[in-house]
Amino acid sequence: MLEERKNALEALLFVAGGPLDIRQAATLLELPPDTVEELARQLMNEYAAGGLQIVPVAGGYQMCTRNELADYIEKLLAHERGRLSRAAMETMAIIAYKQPVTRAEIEAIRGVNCDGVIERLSLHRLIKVVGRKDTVGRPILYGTTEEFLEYFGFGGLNDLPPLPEEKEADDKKEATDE
Amino acid sequence: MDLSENVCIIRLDDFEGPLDLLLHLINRSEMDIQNLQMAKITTQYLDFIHLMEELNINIAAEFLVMAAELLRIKSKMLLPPDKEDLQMAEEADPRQMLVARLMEYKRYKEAAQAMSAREAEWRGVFVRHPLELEELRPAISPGIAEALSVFDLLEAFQRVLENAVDDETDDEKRISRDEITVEQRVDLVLARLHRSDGRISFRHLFSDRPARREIIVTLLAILELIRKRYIMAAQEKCFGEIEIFLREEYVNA
Repeated sequence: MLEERKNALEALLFVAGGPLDIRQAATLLELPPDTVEELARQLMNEYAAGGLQIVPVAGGYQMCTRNELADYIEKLLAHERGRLSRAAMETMAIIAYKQPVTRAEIEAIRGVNCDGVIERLSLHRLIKVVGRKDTVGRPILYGTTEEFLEYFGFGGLNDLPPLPEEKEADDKKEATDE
Repeated sequence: MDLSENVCIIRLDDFEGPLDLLLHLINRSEMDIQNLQMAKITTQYLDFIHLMEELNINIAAEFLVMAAELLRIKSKMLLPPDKEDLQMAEEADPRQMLVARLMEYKRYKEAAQAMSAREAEWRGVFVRHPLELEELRPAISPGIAEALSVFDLLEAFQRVLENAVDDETDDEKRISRDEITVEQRVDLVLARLHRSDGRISFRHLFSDRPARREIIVTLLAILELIRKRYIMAAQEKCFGEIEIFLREEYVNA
């Protein structure tokens, strides 16, 4: 019985494409979320050796290809995937770590105008308006979206690499500088 | 590679702003960020700005503001410290604010680099395009075959409209109907749906001889509710009666 549910979960992951929410899967499979979580982990192990993998993303699980096989897939696809520009990535990082954050706060850190970058990130749905700050002018507050987690393959915001501490920043220079 | 002092490698997209340029200059001359050599860094920075000017590159205002700030700090350090100023930490070392900003920016720049690495890694991971789950979800109740397009709704709308009372010929009615807003209709439609177990036929949302305005406002309300995903419309068979359903998640709301 449980074996069938596991197969069903596998099928659901295939059909869903993107991340499948554990609670939704639990409802569909009529199983407690913990059991679904356990089945998902079993599937992850079973897929460990194949061309596909099952990974925790954005609070759920998703079936996707392996990074190592990207070359083969890219040959099949008509165009290359885009990347975020450096300006966009810096802004993205500030929003991800400091959210909720206003445009003025982002600009104070980057030292440049961020209008265009924020607009592009919103357009790509990597960020969204999450509210307004209770200060003069009630400026808009930005935060990250589910698409952000999917884009970077993060299970949740806890998966963000730790922000370098102010003191450590200098020591880590060699490691991160190109 | 020899990077002598006055050779500036200009790749504009390399420098995201004055802080980034400063960090670059600091790294290049292996300067300690906590102990900025203001004279040296200011000269390098201004050289860079002048070069950009010579090359007719548009310089963002932020770069010039920073140039002014560097000059201000540099001159302040040349002057003997004002005794009163010494009270304030910031005045004890005029560089302090700038160093703090640079450190803060550096943290996020490094975080961005880590995220870029993650992006590069995850870029090679492909997901199937999700099927339209909404279309796949089995019909809400048995016998409801098709989700409807806007055109089906408009056709049904046309049929109701045929029975409409022409507002223009009925002054009294027109005045009363004028006051119905789409928002009020939205509430009314939702109330009717809740009263009839989340399911009602399109036709029954209208009175027997509705005024044109009532019909139009009702249709707008229905379209609005569909757009906001509160309700969906379906019909049992082609050209059959159209029914409006409250989406499951709102049935008990």
